Amino acid sequence: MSRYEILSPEGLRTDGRRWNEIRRFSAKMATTTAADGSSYVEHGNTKVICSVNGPIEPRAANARSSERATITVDVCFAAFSGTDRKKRGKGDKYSTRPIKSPNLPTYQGGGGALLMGRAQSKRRVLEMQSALSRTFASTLLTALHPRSEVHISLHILSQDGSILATCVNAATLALVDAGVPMTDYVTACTVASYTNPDESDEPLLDMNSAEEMDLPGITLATVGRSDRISLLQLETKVRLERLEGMLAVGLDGCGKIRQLLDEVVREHGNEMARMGTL
Amino acid sequence: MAPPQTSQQTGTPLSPAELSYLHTSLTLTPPIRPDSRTPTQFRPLIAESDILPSTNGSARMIWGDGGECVVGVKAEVEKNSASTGGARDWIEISVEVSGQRDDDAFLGMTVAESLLVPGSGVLERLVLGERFHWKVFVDILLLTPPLSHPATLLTLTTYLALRNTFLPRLVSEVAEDPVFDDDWDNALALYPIGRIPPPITLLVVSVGENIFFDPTREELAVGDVALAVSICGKKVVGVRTLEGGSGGVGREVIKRVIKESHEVAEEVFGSLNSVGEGD
Repeated sequence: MSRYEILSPEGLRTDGRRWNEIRRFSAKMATTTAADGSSYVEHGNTKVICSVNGPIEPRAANARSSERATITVDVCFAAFSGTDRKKRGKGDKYSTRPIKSPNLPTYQGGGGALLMGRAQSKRRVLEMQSALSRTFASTLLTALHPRSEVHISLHILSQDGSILATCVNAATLALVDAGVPMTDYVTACTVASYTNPDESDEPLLDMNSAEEMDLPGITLATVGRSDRISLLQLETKVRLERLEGMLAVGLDGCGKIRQLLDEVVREHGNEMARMGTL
Repeated sequence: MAPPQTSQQTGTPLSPAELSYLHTSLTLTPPIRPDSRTPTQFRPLIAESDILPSTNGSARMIWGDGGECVVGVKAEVEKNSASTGGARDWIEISVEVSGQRDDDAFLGMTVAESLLVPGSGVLERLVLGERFHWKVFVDILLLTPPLSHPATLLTLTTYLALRNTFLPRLVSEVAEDPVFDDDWDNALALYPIGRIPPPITLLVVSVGENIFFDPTREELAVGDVALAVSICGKKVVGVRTLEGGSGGVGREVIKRVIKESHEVAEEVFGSLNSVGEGD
């Protein structure tokens, strides 16, 4: 039993939400002129800046494919993003190579990045990069831009749970801003599984870092309005019969996020039309 | 998108003839800048402070040319140790440039050197009793390097973050282990109002008889000399020339640069201090 209640008997979580509520979500598009597309997403206290360049000429020779555009992703945790400052040594920065084969190292053990050693957090970053790259490779119409590269760069300024999901949402907005052809929005959210004192289970939508630390949870992303899951990550052990319920709640959450993203995009489009930049 | 062709000497996409035209228009009286700014006018920028809840102080700045910089300041309690460099190590600055593998040592140096102005009283405020002290980490994240020299962007953002940095108030006695006040409203500012503020560095380029603040890349390319002027409060605490520039200048110009920097810095401090008051 943890020191504090994740879910009170009245059905309220530590930050006052009910089980099916997401945290405050606010997003901005086109935050910088330096990249082709950019976005800034705040989801609760998780804050991510994303910029997209592309389609561009591949910067590395092995990022060139004659059939489709390659998607490269850089994820970077700012040193001040966590509760404690992360000490960063030399050679701790990474750059993705395009993923040729999907046999990635398996990753076990959940928990926030705060508790991890350097090697583990490095692996976590690599895994996030490959997960993002694979998710968007299936949604972007990469065949339209052969021999080119779409580069997504993500900076996590503040981490408070659901980091991968926020990265997906930020990348979607930035890709829309960049005008990279894609079939639909990719939206993501997280779901935790809480065990009541009477052993019944309750799914909790949108984990914050405290819940992420204590509860098993999944991250899932869906494409557009369809309930088709394009990314699913389960990093901890969870009872099999609970998964079904968690997925249902997650799909519902993705729908909510999609609506929020759609509002942001439409508002940005109207703004641009008003300014006469379209 | 193919990168625009850049000329070898200056790193700008301008031809020698265009550069010469720019040089001429900048030497006129009154000078004409390509973006029709006055010599002391800055480019438009967006500044936010106090954006990150997990830091002691933070700021974000976006410049019109695409430069974007986020600064987070975090403080940790550390035991005093005699072996290391002493109080100078209590403030650690790191600069990270997005997309570059190695941290740009020079950029960090520009900020760090000017930040530790002797006698500014910052280090005294970091002392926690007899055995402990605050260790302040200033992490500067340059998300998209601006087209012109980033020194101004970096120092202005750092200034803004440091001005908004608060440390919990110490409630324990001098000889005890530090215990802090839980109430965040009682926190003490690292740079209280009325004390010497953190320094900023302004970039100045001189062309002929004219001097320009906040030069663009093109203006830097045709300048006779580019100077980084560090200003702390009402004092100029450092002047250094930057790479680039052709010809050098007389000492009269330097004198004028320093004089005008005072006036411009006053305005810059004024507008930076008003950031965050609007909301």
